Amino acid sequence: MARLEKIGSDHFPMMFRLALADRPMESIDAGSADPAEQAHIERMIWEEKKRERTPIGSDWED
Amino acid sequence: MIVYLQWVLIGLTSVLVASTVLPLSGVRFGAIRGLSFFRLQFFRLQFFWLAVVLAAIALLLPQGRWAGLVLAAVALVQLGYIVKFTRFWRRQSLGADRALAADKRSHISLLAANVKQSNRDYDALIALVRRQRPDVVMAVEVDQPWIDALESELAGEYPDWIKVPKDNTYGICVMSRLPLSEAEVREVVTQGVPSVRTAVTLGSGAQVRLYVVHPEPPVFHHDTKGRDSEIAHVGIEAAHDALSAIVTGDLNDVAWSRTTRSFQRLSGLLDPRVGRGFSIRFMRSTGGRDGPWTTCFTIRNSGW
Repeated sequence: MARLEKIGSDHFPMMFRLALADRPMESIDAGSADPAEQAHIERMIWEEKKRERTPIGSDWED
Repeated sequence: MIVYLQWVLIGLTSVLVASTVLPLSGVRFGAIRGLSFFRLQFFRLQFFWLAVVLAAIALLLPQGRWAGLVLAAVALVQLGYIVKFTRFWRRQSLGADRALAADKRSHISLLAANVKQSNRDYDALIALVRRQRPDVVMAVEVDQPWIDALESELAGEYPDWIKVPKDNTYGICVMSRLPLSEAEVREVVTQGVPSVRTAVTLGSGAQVRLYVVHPEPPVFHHDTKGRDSEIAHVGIEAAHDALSAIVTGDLNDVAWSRTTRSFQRLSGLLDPRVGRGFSIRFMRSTGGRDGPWTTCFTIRNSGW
């Protein structure tokens, strides 16, 4: 993982190099969502999909 | 003089406490969630040392002991955020062992760039791609002129393309030397905010799932439910995907945020920044916004 040189943007590009193992490697568990969190998130997504609005920041480049 | 110092101390303590505690809340509003962005590496360190210095001052002032204790607690909380993203913490995704590192057919290199739509220095990105020679390039905030410029120079080197030009800063372009399949461009949560889901076939023949996302940024006067929903949706999809998954792009979020931690719990994906250090992508303020905008990049079954 490396931050690359600037390209005129306000963000640095990033480079990632990965290798795919043929089995799960030993690693720290990232945790898991409990049913309450899962339900809360799914409800938020459902409600957000119903909203009709213009994306935030669409006018920043004008 | 001491009274004046006490008021300064109370003010600074309040700011430190508020900016530490508020992002821990579940309030999905830009003014609250945006505070997380100020916690970039150096700012956090400054916060930490400022808190330490203020704590020392507080201990010298009458009745300053309580303020000192509060500031010390703030410093510890800030340190708690920092340490996970340093080399002192155990890595969440591990480095490849010798056999895996030698097996180049199982490798994939990816370059992710937010070009900033109004930036017209196409040649800088093209030259960077030619120097780095990644297997897959993902550019966000691309409009049609950006895609035309990239395609005119790089089409011969990158046979597979997913082109989603947009004038609203949410365009995406994926170009790949490795075969892409099952490519989908979706607007899963907010109309006008696309994301890409595809499969990449490695040299070994194995496939990995690639999600490229660029949700809306958190802004002061708006809620963050659109961004949070987009990130969570991808996390849930990745969790149920039969393929090992990579999620990248510009998530408009920071590694230590509540949203990213929830994304990890939902997806089970790993964050390569844990135990390796920060990778700050955002350089300077734009239109009054300031802070680090990082790329979250996670994979299962991966070596590094």
